[in-house]
Amino acid sequence: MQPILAISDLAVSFQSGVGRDSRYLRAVDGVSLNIPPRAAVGLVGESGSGKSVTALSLLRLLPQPPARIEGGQLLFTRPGSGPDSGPSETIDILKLDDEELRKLRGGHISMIFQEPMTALNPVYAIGDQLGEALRAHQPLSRREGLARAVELLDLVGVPDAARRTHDYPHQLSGGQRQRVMIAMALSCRPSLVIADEPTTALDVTTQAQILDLLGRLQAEMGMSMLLISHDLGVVSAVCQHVAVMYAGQIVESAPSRTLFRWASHPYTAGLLQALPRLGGRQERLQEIPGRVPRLGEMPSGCRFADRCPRVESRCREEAPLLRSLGEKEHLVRCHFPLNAGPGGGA
Amino acid sequence: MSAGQHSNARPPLVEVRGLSKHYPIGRDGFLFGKLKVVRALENVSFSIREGENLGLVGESGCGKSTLGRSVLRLIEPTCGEVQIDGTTVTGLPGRELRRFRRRAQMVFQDPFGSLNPRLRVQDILAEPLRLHGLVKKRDEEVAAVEKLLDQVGLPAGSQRRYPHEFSGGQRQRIGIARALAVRPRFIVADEPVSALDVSIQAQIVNLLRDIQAGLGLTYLFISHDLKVVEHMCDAVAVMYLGRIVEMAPTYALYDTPRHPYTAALLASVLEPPRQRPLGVLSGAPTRRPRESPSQAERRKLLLYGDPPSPSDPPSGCAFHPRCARYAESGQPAVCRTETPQLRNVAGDEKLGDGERAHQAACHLL
Repeated sequence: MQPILAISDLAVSFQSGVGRDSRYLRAVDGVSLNIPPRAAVGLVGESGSGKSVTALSLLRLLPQPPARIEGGQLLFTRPGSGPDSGPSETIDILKLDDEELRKLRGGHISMIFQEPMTALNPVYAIGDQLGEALRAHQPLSRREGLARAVELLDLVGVPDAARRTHDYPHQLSGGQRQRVMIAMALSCRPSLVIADEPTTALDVTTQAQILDLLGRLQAEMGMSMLLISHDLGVVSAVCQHVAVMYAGQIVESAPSRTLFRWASHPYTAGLLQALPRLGGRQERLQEIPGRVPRLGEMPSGCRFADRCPRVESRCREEAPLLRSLGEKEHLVRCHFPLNAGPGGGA
Repeated sequence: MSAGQHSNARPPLVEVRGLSKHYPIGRDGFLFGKLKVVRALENVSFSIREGENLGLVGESGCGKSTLGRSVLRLIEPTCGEVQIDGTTVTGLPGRELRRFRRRAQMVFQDPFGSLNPRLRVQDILAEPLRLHGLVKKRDEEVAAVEKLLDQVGLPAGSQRRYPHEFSGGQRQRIGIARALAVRPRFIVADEPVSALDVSIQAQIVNLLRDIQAGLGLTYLFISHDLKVVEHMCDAVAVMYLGRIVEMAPTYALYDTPRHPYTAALLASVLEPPRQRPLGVLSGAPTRRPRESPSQAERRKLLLYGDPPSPSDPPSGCAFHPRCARYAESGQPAVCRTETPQLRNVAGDEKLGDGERAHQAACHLL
């Protein structure tokens, strides 16, 4: 099936320093990922892995400079959803002009951010903000926009929606604000939603509610979703496919079931081992020693080599490529992956 | 240290009785109206034995950080009594309070905000030593700092650098070293690993455990992460809107939560599926992993709505508007009118000396 969004070889750099010292540091280096229709794909990584930069690049939301998209393709396929809207059409997001980009953002692809308090405008009532988002993409009157806003708030489970439209963001709790953000993101029935750490600022009980809601709406509305998170538990609860990023690259990508059960990259396996688990009062947590390499100091070989328990001399000399491991959809960037037996697929 | 062995017969290291913290937030009406207060902490009592590690969990705004700070009097409690290591901390005059702080220290969540950016690590770590007169000469100071760095796993030479030169995990190590500098017996750790990435979090959790084992420390470990708390703590207290609603040994609380709020918190924890066992990795569970509840069971336990505002808490049991047990039991009036007190749950009569009872504050146990 043709993916809704095919990210291929995306590279993003940031300018560092000024004048003579100025140079570009590669924060995202050759990321390729397909998001199939009606599927939820997770992108996990620790801070500095490049996952949020990837997410922001998809809608070209990074300020340039200091950011610079150095290469790659972002092929978005707009589905032909009926006889009147014509056949499906594939466009490269990186080639769109400002006007086309504006139509795409919030219309076909929308975004949910981590901190709804900063993403919502504090001086407008939420009903007006929702209505405005709607009217930016659809020919609606102010009153029609407001009526749709009430429907949307109902849909995302904001109690007493009609009255709530007059509330300002500060009058809502964190969970309710995130619900408003979700309503806004879904307002134009996008075919893809990018959610960047949507529950990180929330308490566990609220997080569970919001993920439940997101998963349900994604399935019911037949959207695709790219969920970016540092939390493997969050991703496993919602996504059918998961990609793991480390130091600007995807190091492993597989269907959820495969990834969590048969993690093959030593980094993925290490992350899963480092998680404290309910019910397992282990004596020690498995540590991953060391830290993520800095942007300007990327090793020439495998970027995980310095922290890897399976490191061999080849890892420091030759950068591994992302390659398929047995199962077609299971990709690993490692010379000596865990499930290929001793010696690896060398 | 052999301290842990005899602790049962001795009084607990930390004893907190009826601790409350109220913040005034203005008046009901103008000038002569009733003074309105937020009850951030309301009548909290607990004790921690020497060498024990008590976890404190709850959602944001439940008062767990206020409790941690009130115990050390970084915040002045409104009423109640705190005894630590035989000293009644509440009511200590300033001078003596400062001397007392040698025995009880704090580790903060944000390792950057709590370190002075203009001081080198040498001075950050030596300052508490000088303040408490623990070092006389410069070479003693240097040696003490070297030892501290080694204790928390920072490379030699770190003392010459500034906080901003370190990663988040390393900064938290500096924060821990500073707390250890004065050789305390009790540490309040407020979300010490919440700001850290998973791989670094494991390093710091292990470090805190190693230090505790090596130095015989006692912790009050505050966290919103139930997985980390189960891993770190011998006993756990669950807070909701300024009160402890359940307190028990860790295994009892996680295996058979008695308060509906605790059950809902546990049901909200998300975990990825377990890995196929890998021979190369150690760390086998000491207890058989519990069967995780089915999706349907989980959904039933999930909470709806948000925690109420502490400035206007619901009457009776503050949890009743979100409580599944209250709804299923036909909404008994007692839940709306009477605040439930923490009491021992049935079946806990034959406790050994010093063993912790399983307590919960619920009318519908």
